[in-house]
Amino acid sequence: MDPAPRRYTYEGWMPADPSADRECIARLRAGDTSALDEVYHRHVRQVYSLVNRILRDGSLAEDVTQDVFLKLWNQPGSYDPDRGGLGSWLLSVAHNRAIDLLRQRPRREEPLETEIRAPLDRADDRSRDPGQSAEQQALAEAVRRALARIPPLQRQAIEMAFFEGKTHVEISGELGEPLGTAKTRIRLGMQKLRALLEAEGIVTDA
Amino acid sequence: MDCSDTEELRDLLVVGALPPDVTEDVRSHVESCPACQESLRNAWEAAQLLRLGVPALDPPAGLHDRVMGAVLGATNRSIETRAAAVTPRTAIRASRRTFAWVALAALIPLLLTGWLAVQVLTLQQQLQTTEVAMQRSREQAYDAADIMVRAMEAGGAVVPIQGTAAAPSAGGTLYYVPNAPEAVLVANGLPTLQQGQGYQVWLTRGETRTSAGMMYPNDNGECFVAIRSPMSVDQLDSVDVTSEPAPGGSPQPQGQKYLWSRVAGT
Repeated sequence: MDPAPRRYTYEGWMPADPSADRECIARLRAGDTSALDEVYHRHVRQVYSLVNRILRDGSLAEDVTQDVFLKLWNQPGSYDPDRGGLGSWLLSVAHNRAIDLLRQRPRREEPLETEIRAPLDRADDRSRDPGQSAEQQALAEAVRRALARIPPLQRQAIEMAFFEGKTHVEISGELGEPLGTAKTRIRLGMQKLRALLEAEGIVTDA
Repeated sequence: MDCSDTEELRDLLVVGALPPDVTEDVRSHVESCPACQESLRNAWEAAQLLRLGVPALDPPAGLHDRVMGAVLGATNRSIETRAAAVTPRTAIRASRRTFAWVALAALIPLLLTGWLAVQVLTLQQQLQTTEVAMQRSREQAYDAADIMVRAMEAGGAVVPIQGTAAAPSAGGTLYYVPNAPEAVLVANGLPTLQQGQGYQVWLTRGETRTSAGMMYPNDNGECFVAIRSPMSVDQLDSVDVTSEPAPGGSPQPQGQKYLWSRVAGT
């Protein structure tokens, strides 16, 4: 029998262990709370860190993090192991929910310089999480290294879009630059990011 | 929107910098363009990795207990919301196909009796386990109704399920959505199991068996389960039902087999 056709997806980012994720989902479907406990310890740090980065509000970040794991518990079938790793899916859900929430509340004004420097200042954060695999930690560190090497103005434009939910029109307006400049910064920054990640052996075809 | 437009906009798309209408235009083109899909896939991979690049923070110490507590004591609000969302759609779309009426007619009594079966279980188990089982049962009902609606829209397919030597008078039907991973297994004539046991559904393809959930029959031996298969249901070799420890089931089938049917090629 031919294998199921692999659907095109935006969600898969890294090699996952589909059998482990399938086994985990099967246990969740059977109501096994220990399966959720394992998933929580494996992924909560990345989920919470991402949501907190977007919302910059610890209390809201807790709410969204809880929401993400509850979604997995209540709707384990909404995650499809064929479309990527469970960690990637959790982060995708967390990101979407946080951005949705962010767009519903007034913008928080922060100095742009702080926004630009934040990743660099903390790029050396190597604190270890026993719930995270060495592979996950190495990947996260490689991404932080790559981010730190993107020209600051390009990274700023990318972060305003990706972590603050702003369109290129809004970015252009806030930075007081032509629309074309904002678009170019995002494109050049992402090209640079792909090249750096490729050099790290993470993205194979930049 | 063409390939050159998509190429120009892909990096803005993957970081969420495009307004919704432009995003939809790009997505529409990409859906029908394999070359742009591949190009965009690489861009998405890089963008998703940005999520890992945020400064790592330790979650608050109490968050774990809060999440697990919410799991065990989840309010019924979300369930009621789902019910409200499913019921009107069922009412509206059920008139489209006779298949749907037959299937839903068979399912509705089971939703009620299945719920009663869980209530009996409530008297026999500790509070925590009961809350999980009750919530699961109700969600199964809503999932099943939702799948039936989608099955009817897609033309619906059915496979008869046979009782094994352990339950020769048992049987059932597998209703599924063609070329999709969703299905509903409705069983009848299943014998009452001893306390602490339930019926676990298994999906088999080749040497791989995946649990599709637990079932608890009512006094008439009737039960159902909403199935979300790891692959298209058409591609499964078979579906089996065995008795396993409740409520969590077993990682692999260990108990006696009560129901069985081949799926692929039927």
